[in-house]
Amino acid sequence: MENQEKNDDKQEFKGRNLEDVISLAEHVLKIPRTQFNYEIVAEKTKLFGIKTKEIVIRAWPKAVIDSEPATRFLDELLEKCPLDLKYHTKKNRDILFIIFEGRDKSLLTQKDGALLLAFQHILNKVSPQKVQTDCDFFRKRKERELKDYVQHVARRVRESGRKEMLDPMNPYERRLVHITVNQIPGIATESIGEGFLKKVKLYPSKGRPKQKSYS
Amino acid sequence: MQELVEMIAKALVDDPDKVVVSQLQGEQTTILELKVAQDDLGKVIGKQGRTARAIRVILGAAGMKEKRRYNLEIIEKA
Repeated sequence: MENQEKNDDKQEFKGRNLEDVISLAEHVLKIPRTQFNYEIVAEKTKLFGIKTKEIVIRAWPKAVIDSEPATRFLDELLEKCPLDLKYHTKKNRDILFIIFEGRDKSLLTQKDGALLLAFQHILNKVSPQKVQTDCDFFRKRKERELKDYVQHVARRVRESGRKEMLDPMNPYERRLVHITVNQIPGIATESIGEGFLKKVKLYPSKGRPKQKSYS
Repeated sequence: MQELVEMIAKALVDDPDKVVVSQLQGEQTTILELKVAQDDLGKVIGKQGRTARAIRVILGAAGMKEKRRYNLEIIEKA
């Protein structure tokens, strides 16, 4: 659903090689290639008729990250808040990263990062861009932990042949679980439940592992 | 702390002029009453109460510094 909507403002361009198509996109979108993103939709060599190549790309202008609403809000918040926190920002594609520092930073990552995620939630309401908060590589650490744990459970499922259910997780964590498990042959995943927090079920996939095609 | 809640609420709602925060001081606990326009109630509460919970988490952490407990109540304006 979401992808469908996003594709609406992406235009498709066809040409004989990548250089041609990008030039065409520049011409139609009226912006230089440094200011749009593109993905290759199809690339094929026509065998019948004349042997020509055709390449199709989808291009859309890059979002200009405006960190102003988020930082202005956060500056004011930290001024009124007795917590001793500072931050710096980083931009990556369409995401604005806010990395906290300061004497009270240990409070952020307590209780599974509750405060860090609370700031993230409010900042996302205020900012037009997606915001991710972080502190002391909390995210990296959590991801590593979750991956190790999931791999461990996956091994257990494969050995026992019995399904297992993980604790409720948010969409970000569930995505990581699905990605991790999908790299392990013979185990499949499914999200179960409703709402923001769902459980992920790990179970042995029947028969031979699905043949993945990378065409 | 009153100002903190007011500032967060004002950033979330469509009608910041209708945001009012009042404070009831107890011995160990302070109750903060947040009033917003009827149409903005959902904005400060959020889906499944996530926004309200986020504000409470921030308030809780800030309160810890002051060794004081803060209770946030969201009230419908008559």
